[in-house]
Amino acid sequence: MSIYLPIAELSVNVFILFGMGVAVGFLSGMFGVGGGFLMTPLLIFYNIPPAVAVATGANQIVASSVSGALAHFRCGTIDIKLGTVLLVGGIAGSGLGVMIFTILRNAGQLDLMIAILYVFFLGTIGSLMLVESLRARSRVKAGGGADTRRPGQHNWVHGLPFKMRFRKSKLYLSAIPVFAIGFLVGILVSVMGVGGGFIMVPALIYLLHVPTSVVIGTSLYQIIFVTAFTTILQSTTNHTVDMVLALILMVGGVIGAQFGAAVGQRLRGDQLRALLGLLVLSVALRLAFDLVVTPKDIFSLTAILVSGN
Amino acid sequence: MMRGSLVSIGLAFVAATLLTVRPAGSQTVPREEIQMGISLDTVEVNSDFSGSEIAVFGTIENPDKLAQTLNEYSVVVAITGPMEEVTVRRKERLFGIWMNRQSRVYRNVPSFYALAANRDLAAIAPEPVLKENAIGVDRIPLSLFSTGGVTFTQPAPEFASSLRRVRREKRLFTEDTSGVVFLGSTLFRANLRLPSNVPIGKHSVTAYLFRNGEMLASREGSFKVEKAGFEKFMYTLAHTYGFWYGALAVIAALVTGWLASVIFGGGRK
Repeated sequence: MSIYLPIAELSVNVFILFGMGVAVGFLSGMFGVGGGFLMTPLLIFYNIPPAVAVATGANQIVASSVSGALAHFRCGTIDIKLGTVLLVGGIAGSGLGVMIFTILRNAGQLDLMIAILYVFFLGTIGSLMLVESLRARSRVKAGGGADTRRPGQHNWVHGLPFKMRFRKSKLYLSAIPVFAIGFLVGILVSVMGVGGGFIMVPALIYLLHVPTSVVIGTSLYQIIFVTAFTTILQSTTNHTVDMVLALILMVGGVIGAQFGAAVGQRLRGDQLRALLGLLVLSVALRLAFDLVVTPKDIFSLTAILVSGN
Repeated sequence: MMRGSLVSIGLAFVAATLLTVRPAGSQTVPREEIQMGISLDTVEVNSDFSGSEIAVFGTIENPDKLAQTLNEYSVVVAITGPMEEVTVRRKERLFGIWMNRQSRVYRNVPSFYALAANRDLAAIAPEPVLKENAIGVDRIPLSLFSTGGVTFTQPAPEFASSLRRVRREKRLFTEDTSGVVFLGSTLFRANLRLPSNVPIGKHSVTAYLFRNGEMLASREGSFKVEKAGFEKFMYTLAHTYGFWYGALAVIAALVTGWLASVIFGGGRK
């Protein structure tokens, strides 16, 4: 059954899109990630214009992070104060990101930039995950503990001013790095159409030493606000959010996530990370391949309706 | 059936005129005119729109009997969509990566062009005549963007030809030299295909009458392509009230997420 997307302005197959939603939802439920970094490239592979894919991706992430964050809220694993500082930075970053997005779009370099950012971030994160999980695995085999956390250790981050107390995370640290992390991830939300959890979570754990138990909930909490803000900003400036597309993906996504979570609970942590690392790397490779291979047509058109017609 | 009987009437008519042929020029002959009507005023694009067909009917008025007999009349019907400003970009390899480098901006490019004729354009009129009337995909005028008569970029014919080629590939520029059929001696019908990606807006339709390589008359009409129903609502909302559209998108997402957590959250710890 084909359906016409009013903003993307093309006919697509509902079942394929729904299936993509379920598949990405399944993987995100299984690995406990947002899935935006998989959804946006998939939409682009399916010929959705990258500008629409990115902006709609942000909208879809609102839905998946709400259901995740609610679960964490019930368990009390969200540091609201930390999340709020992050989201203030995130909103500022998203504002800058939408400006960058508009400039790149007008210059005809948006598609290229999206692809390069994806290759860079997915390539880096995917490799790190794979290496880390393989190491953890060999450690487990060697009989050592799998836990690499070294509590109490301080780094340069803790010497910065504007200190705040984050009770839930049992941290006393400067608001500057928290704001900066939020800001950088905010830019990525609007330019790449991701939630940014894949940057946020490691940054909070390794740079700020936020306890692992509250990291995911706090990250999800701030993602809701930043992606909601991005959705509104993209709708207002670039008109690239396709609500019909977003709704199909959302419904597929939340259903897939339930099955994914059930499967994920049966797998070991290092196995999960190795699999996710492989998946992320293969998406990066596919995008890198498209950048390097000679395009089918080196010419492309962009049209603007002349007013007064 | 219908067409067959019309054709046979036409043949009978032609046979009759052959028998009573008179030398021309003995009196002032009224000029030939062309009349036409379009089958639809408005084409509605809804969620399952997969293209449409538009029919243009017309007649030749005051035809010359001899020209008719010798099948000298040619009819061309062309649809021209709303005008656009088109940027053509060319990718080049830089550090191993393909990226957009050079570009040209063309002004007043039709977003859609569909032509139907009853024979090959080359057989209808010589090149200068076709060019003057901008008939045919290759003769759509493409002028580089300029301000106050000053063009800032070097002309580059490969950009213009790529524009035509890409639009042809997307079925946005088409030519069908058997799209016009004479149903009788003066009555013709043109069938033109509107693809599923037909641009929204006002499309003008022009019918041209040719004889011996000369354009005798032309007539213009128009029809509209509109988004209908839900699609129209969403598109208008998104483009006119972007903020509210965004707010609605966020609310829809919040509700979906919340519902999912209510429905599935209970079973999971």
